[in-house]
This record gives sequence, structure tokens and C-alpha cells, in this order.
Amino acid sequence: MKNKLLELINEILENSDRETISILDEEASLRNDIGFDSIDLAVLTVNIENVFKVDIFEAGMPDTIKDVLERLEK
Amino acid sequence: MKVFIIDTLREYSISYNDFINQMNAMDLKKYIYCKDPKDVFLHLAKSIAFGKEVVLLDGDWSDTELQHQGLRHSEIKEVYSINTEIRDMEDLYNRIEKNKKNWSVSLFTSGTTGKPKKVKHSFSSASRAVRQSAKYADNIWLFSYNPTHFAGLQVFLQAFMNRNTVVIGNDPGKYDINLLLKNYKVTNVSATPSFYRFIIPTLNDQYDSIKNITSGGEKMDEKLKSLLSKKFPSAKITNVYASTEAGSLFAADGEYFHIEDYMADMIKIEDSELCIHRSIMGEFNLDSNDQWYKTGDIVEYLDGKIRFLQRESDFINVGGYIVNPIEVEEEILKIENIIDVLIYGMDNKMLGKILAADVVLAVKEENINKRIFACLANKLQKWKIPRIISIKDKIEKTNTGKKVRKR
Repeated sequence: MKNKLLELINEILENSDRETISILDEEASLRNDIGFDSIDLAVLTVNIENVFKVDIFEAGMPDTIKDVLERLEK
Repeated sequence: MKVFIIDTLREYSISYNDFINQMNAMDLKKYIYCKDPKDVFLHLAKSIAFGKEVVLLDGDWSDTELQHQGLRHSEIKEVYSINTEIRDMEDLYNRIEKNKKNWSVSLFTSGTTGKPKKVKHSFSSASRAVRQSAKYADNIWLFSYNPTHFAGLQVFLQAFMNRNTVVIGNDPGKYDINLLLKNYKVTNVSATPSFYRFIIPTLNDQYDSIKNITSGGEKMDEKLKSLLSKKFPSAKITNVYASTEAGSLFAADGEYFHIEDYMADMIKIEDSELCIHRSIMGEFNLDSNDQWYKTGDIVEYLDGKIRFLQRESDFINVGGYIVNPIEVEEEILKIENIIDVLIYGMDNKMLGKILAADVVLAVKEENINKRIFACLANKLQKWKIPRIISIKDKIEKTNTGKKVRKR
């Protein structure tokens, strides 16, 4: 699951010519550390829903990788 | 000395006096095409003070987008010849009072046929919702909008006419909004629901200084409203309805927008669609001579209030930015190997809608997504670039050959 999430995040970074990440730090903030803007976050929610069939926004807005993983594990 | 603009990213804080000095030192351009909000404000303030007509262009428009508006780099360099200096704040506001009737500002908005249209506002139509009074004198604004869009113009006018402080924070990915709200004791925030959705998880405190939260550009949902009430317990939360064509029209504290008395004869509802009388709108070329402008908003009317139900429009609202799908399709069709395309909005909890594209390829191609992003990156603003791309065998069309747009 972690690897797939890393892949989805990197796909967004790569598509807009940004540096990809090699390790998924659970404490990292999608906004402040990974540098996602609102469009990136929107794309991530769509792609996560396509792959995991989980709406990560259902239980409020996630900020860290840990928030996302917790929603996926439920 | 009263501070006017604070920009932590560009590392400056300027007073009203500094602002006047900078205004005196600069040339007033007819076309305002700047990235720094301060430069936009300098041009707007100077143009009002001298009663000159100006045109707002997005500072991040590419050459392709300028051409799409029918503009060339060479023609947007026109400068007004002004030899008079503004002495001080009193002189500035006296000049504004005297010359504001001669001032106008034009903004571009998506045209129905793919060609953008220019909408010209007088001071009275641009400032219809601006309130000036001593009770607003100590307001401190978080500036969240693009300064060249109508909502940005509104916040600028409201703050500037009341001599308020403006804290720039119009890129929540780059500015630390939490710190800005706390450090500068911001009292007023006006932003899109998407902006609020983006910043809420990063707000780790209660912000008692905030008295007013205004939301516009998209529909605000109850869940977001309740989250905002928790984060900003002292704030009054208001939704506003405004558009580039019509200016600011209605406000609401919930779903129902109140129609003020002076507005009652200026709106009508035809087949559930909200129509607005031309006399209170900005000036622009309309396809017909009809005095009523159809907004495309389907509404419900109840006891002097209206509720917005849905939009009957092909335009796509991506986080408060209106995208004309035809403009995007025209650019995508220029990409080699793409023979047909359909742009549409896909429902999204973060942005309301996210831009998606179905494309038909001449020959199979791996990584077409990446090539589309790369081709559009320097041509279109980021919210106009479709991020969800699907390869299709064909694009569905109606009997008359029109694309069937998904909503």
C-alpha cells in the first residue's frame, strides 16, 4: 500500500517536472513538505479513489502521509 | 505610519506613504500585466486617482494566452503621460473622490464561443459591494485572490478605500497562512471554498482576531462552513455571489441569498434561470439586444431570497477559476498525434471540479499524459491543464456534431 501511494505521489510530481521522492515519510505534510498545491491534492484524491476505492476526504481533509495511510487502512 | 501591504514571500512591508512614493515614481500602464500584487495595486490606485481607463491581465498569462485574448506583447506596453505628483494620503483620496467617475477597469472573462470577452466596469459597478466607514478602519485583510480577477479587485477596493492593511497570502502552498493569520492579527479573510479546504488542516490554533470570513467563487458546503466556524469562532461567515460580468450581487449567511431592495427590479427568474438587468452590469458585447443577461445559474426563489441549485453552463469552475473547455481543447488539438479531445469537469471534494480530458490518438502512444502536460505547461495557467486523462476510441457527439459534455 505504501509503495503504491509513493508511486501515485511521484506520478504527480513527475508529470509537472518536479523532483520525485524515494522514501515515504509518514510525518511529511503533503502541502508543506511534498509541496502539493490544491490541484495536486485533488488529483491525488481521484487517483487514490481509482486504485484503493477509498475516498480520503470522507473523514476530513488529510495533511500528512500518515493521515492518508490511516484512511486507507480503515 | 500605517502599513498598507505586507508580503512575507517577497519580503517587504510598505506603508501608505511608501506606496504613494512608489506610485509617483512609476509609469501608469494602460494594461496591468504584473505578477506582484503590489504592482497591480499601484496601477489600480494611480489609475483611479487620475481617472484613467485600465485593463487587468493575469500576470501569469503566457504569450499563447495573451494571443487568445487578442493581445500582443507590443500593444500592452502603452503608458499614460502623467506629470502630477500625489503629495500625501489626503491628496490621494481627494483625487480619487474627484476622478473616480472617469475611471474604468476592464477584465477578461471566458466567452461562450471560445473567444474571451472583455468586461468594462465603472467605479460604481466595480465597487457596488464596497462599504466605507470608520468602523472598518482597523480591518486587516488576508489577500487570497488573484489580484487581477474580480474578487481580488473587490478585496483591494474594500481595503484600500478604508485605508486598511493587506497581508498577501494568495498562494497557500507558498505562504504560511497559519503564521500570517496569527502574526498580523488578521481580521478579514475573503477566499474561495477551495482555498479554505486547502488551509484548514494546516491551521493549528484558534484565531480570535478574525471577525469576518467571506467565501465566493464556488458553492460553500455545510461541512466546510462548520469547520470554519470551529477554527474561527469569532467570525461571521458570509457567502457572496459575484461574477466578472455582473460584479458583486448578493450575500448570504447560509444557502439563501438575500436580494436587497434596490436589486429587486434588476433581477428576474426565467425558466428557473437567474437573469440580471444590463444596467447594473459591466459593459460588454452581448450577442443579442436583450436587456437581460442570462447567468446560466439555475435558482429557486423563496420570500425575497434565492438559492443556487446548479449551473447550466459548459464552463468549468475549478476551485473558483472558470475554465472555458474550448480554449483548452484548441490547445490540445495542436499536439501531434491527438485527433480529438473532450474537456470536462469531474466532481472533486477539494476543488469542486477537477479538469479531465478524453483524448483520441491517431496512433497508440505510451506516456501521452506526460507529453500533454509538458506541451501545455508553458501555454496555459495551471488550473486550465487537465490532470486526469483518458484515452478513448472516439468522442461522443450529438446529431448536429456538438460534443456531449459531461457534468
